Amino acid sequence: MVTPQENELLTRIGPGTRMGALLRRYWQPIGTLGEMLEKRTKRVRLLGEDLALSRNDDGGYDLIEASFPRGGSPAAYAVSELGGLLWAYLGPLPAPLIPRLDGLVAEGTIRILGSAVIPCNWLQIMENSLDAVHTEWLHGHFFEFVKESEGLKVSFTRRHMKIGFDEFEYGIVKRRVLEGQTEEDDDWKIGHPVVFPNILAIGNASPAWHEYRFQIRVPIDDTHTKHYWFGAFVMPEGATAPAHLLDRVHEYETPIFQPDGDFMLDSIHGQDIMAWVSQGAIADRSRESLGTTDRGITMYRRMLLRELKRIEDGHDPKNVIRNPEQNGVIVLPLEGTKAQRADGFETLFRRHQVRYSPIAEEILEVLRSARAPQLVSAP
Amino acid sequence: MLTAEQNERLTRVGPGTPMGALLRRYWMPVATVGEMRDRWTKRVRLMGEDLVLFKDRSSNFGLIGEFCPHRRASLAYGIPEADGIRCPYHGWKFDGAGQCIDQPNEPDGSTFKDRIKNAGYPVSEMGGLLWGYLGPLPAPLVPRLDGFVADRAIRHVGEAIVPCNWLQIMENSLDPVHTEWLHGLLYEFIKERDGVKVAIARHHAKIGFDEFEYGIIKRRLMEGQSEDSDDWKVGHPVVFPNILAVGSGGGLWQQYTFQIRVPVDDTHTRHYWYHAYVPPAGSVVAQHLLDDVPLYEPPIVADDGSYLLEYIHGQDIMAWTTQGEIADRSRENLGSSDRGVTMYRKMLEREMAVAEAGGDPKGVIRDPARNEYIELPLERNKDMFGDGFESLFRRHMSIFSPIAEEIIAVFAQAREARREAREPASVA
Repeated sequence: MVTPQENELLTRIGPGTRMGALLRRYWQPIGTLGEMLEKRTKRVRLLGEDLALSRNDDGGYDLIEASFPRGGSPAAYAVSELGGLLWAYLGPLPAPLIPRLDGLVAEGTIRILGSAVIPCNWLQIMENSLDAVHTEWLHGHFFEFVKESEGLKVSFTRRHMKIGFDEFEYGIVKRRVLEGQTEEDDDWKIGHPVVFPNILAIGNASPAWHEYRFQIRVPIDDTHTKHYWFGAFVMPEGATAPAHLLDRVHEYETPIFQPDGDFMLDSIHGQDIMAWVSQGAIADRSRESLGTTDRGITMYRRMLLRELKRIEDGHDPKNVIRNPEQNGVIVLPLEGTKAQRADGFETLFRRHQVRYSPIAEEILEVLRSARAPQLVSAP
Repeated sequence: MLTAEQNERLTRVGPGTPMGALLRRYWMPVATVGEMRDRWTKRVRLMGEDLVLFKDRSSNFGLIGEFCPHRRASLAYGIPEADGIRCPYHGWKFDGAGQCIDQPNEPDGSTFKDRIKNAGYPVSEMGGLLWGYLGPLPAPLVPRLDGFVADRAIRHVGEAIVPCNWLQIMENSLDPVHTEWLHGLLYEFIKERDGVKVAIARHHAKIGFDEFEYGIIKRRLMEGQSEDSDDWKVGHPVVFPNILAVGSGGGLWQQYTFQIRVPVDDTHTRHYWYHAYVPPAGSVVAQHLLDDVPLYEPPIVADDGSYLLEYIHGQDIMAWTTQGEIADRSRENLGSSDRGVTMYRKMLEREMAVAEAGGDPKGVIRDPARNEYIELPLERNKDMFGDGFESLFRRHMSIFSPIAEEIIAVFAQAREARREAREPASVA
């Protein structure tokens, strides 16, 4: 539990706020290169600021305040490209480097980028990623309840025997031991990271199923978050992808509500979004009751406050990189065989929001062509 | 006229307010039994509290705080079990009293759950409705008002969220004269082109208000009526604190109507129009009409947002909501026809004091012997019903009910049967 004042401090990110100052020290994605080939300008609302992104005649990009006083000049911010995405930096200059995370720069991958506007504060979305146990319920038992009439059983319901959280250079590694597993399993031994401050990295590293997934939570303002689902699928040996799948990031809008306005409870992202949004526009942490399974959340909040103090003391916060030698490729922990994926690649693929990608079927077809046994779902 | 402070005191119903404390002494309808048949949960906002009505797998109902005390995800998406409901986010389980009874991922033997208490309130069933009680325990009885429990009645209930404070809706029910204007002359004005005239437009010669055991009886004498008419002699009651009971005992039908005003919060009211029609003995009524209490949602505004002024309920809702979200009683000017309103406000103040002192306020019943069947005053041959059952039915929100035409048909058949009994068909 935190005080109402601490909750305000942790969640508010507009200009002039302390947490806003911390998040402004990091590059944030604002779109793809591909979408800007088709248009010259785009509105961007980021950290409570209304901005205009435009492609100039030199092929570069400008990001300026969308409106400014007559006779004045608009604030301008840095824009750069990495991994087929456009990134903006709203912090003090000189800007640091955009961290070259493995999945963003891996070669020969099929890349997709789903996005949606989630009508709630960014922090409750991030806290979900430091909350290992929620998968057992929200994506396990609750999923089975939603599909009760169909008798669905899912691998997510396996019980958590142990959870662990370790700080590492780029953030926090989250670990779990599920019933029947040991600490030798990748779920514990390797784990998967939250890249500080606002990216969940969860992929799969087996030869037949090698993918990178980043969930990037970009605050639009205090009560809205642009959620990006980035995926980069590495071609298994023997699989070939047509060039049009490889030459750009394929963006799409991820639906998050059904036509009747309710949440999409039969999909993993819809379950998450139900939980996040139902906590309120800004979750009232002065009325929560944290248990022993919530220590990843507490660790993350403390890290936010610690890094806030660092910038207020005049230092770069965690994960701000300025030395190009440290930024060749940032290799993140990546699990190979994940217990929660026992339902098989294709089944999970279809349960997840990636199914809304316009190239979803093409991705499945390419991966099937490798005839990797692990990709075949049990009937 | 009231002071601004008095107005606040009389209108605000959230937790911790004096009027909220009084209204929490009474059972409030929160759903129909029918609407929970095919669902496990329903969000219920009641007197400023966000709650979830749930059905467990043993078919018991619970009414608990919507937000899980753990990390405040919504229990409206909860997973029902035999003895409670689990939060969809982390599986914490709550019973109907709001007590946390399981935290599946906390260590064995942990007492953490014992210290986690969500809001939890009693639920009861009567007349096809589910009622919730948000007051201090032990809860009193749900008053078995005649229309809710009368045998062999056809029932239906309309529901709408009216975007204004509950008190101005209740005051309307202590204001007999408004019918002459709002439902009479205004209606005739709306229908001027059609040349429509209605019985309701008759002039009030006299009005009266008397306190009785369950509330206030409202009486009226229309021009040309005598004091022996039921409108004056019997009258019809406001059942304290928030139900208008206006029915008709004359003619073929025994008809009970309850307008129940349930405060959602300070600026929204869940309005139920509950009807029970007892057809004459011997009439043929389809079994489903006797078994089910269908819920329907009459429109309260037209598609373009304008009020539905050709309907009686639309006229009322226009008047209530145009008074403002919370009517500013510091700027009103009450006349002699408003003394029912004043009497009701004084009664609210008096009963607030009773509740504050720890007593049971008016209409709270704890003795089952007193609660077998509460027969309320019921007028026969109501002057305002002079246009006839079907004509009034079609002008009222009841016409939006899914069983509206079936009710009219049962009535028409009964009327025909009686006519034939009186006038045997002549032999050709």
